[in-house]
Amino acid sequence: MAFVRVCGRSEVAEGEALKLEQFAIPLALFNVNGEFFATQDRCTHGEWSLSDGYLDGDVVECSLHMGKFCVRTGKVRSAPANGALRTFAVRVEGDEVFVDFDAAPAMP
Amino acid sequence: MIRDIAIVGFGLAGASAALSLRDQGYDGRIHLFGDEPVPAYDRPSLSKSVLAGATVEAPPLLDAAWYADAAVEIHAGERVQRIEPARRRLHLPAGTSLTYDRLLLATGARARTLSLPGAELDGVLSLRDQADSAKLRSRIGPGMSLLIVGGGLIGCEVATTARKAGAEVRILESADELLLRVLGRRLGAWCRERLEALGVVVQRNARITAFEGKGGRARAVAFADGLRISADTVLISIGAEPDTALAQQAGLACVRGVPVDATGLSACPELFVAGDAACWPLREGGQRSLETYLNSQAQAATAAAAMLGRAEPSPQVPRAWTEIAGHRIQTIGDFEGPGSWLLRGDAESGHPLLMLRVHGGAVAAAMSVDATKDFATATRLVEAGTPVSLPALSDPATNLRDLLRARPSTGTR
Repeated sequence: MAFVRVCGRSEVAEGEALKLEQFAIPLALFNVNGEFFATQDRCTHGEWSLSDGYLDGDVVECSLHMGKFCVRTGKVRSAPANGALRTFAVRVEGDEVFVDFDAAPAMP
Repeated sequence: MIRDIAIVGFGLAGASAALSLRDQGYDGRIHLFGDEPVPAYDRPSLSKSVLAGATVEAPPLLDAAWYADAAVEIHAGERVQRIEPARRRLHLPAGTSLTYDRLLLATGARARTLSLPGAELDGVLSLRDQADSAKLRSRIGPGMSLLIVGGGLIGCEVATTARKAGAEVRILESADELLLRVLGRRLGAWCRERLEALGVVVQRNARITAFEGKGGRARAVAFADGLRISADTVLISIGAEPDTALAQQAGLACVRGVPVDATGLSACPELFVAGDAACWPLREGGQRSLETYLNSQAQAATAAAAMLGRAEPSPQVPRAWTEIAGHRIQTIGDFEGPGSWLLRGDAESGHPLLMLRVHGGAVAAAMSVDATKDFATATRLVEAGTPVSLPALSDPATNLRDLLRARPSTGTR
């Protein structure tokens, strides 16, 4: 388990996403009503950035071809997306957001 | 009790309908018939990544495992011969038949052909399925020449891909601008300039009269004014025609698609149609075959629900995307229509650009060039019929998402 600080909490407003390109796997960090979720930024369908997408609850719609994914689980919610997204464990401590690139989030 | 649902057509609409039926808890049998030998795949890739050779095959729409898990009975490559609606029966090639409770026709569309002398020559191609794309791909390398007849979406997408692959590309368009029907004159001209900058030659007002060949192979295109242009390969991309052969044979009157109501129900009880084959009602009035990915998907989900007795009328707002000369263009609603257009973005360079048609205090249509994020919000303004003011929309400082949040949908358009 190696959590890495990725950004400050206030950098991602509620209902928005932040693209974090400085890592080996570019990340999209989503703020779903104060809860944070990290997925790979690249859509599994087309070459597009999911942080550019439209977040509605915990579902992000890719803004290129409108495939949908659950940012909580990475699962496809609508074609043309087919493959699931990689998701990563997120921890928020104070004003800092940390991501563990080696771990999937704990599933309820 | 509905226990047997037959879906004829295994493209996006057919596969999406099967997915929706299972998602909605239907546990009876699903029989899925398709002309092509493979399960449904991502057809838009055929003019883009697949044609470019970035992937050998178009990505499947659903994993093979899904069909098995969902117990969908796949009959890929099995062409339904005819339908007998009165007996709710499909007739299959081997003389066998199948009785259904509900039938969905999702037969799609075929590439429109050009009845000119020489159209049968080797090297005169169209682009509709995976085999077409593979054939075209082998002919668009460096030193090869491609003539594209028809400067619509597919013609312009292929021109982009072929030019990037190194081919000499010329588009022949019979109108005085590219993409007029789908994108209008402003964006049509903008796309033409971008294609020309890529090195594509665009010839407008082109009147071709024949394809000429030697030894059965295409060699040139002849024009009404007597000129000739040589070409190894000709792509005919002049639009598509809904495939209504089965519906017509079953006695349904068809005019560019099978007329259906906003749940996909045809004039025959138990017979539904979705996707390109359907002439489906529009929210702004009228009805037509839409030939777009997202509308086919939405129609399939609506028809699937209706087949299960949960009809929820879904008049469509046309939605499309394309990739031309490296730019992402997206549209919702019709270009032609009442109201006035306003522009957000960089009008000088032409991108990013968001164009909005405002009518009756709401956004009726939107078109975007490389403004995907704002477009996603604009689609929601269109779909929800959110009341908007022109000054707020025109103000570049306005965040569109704030308009959506601040003015909840009335839902009564």
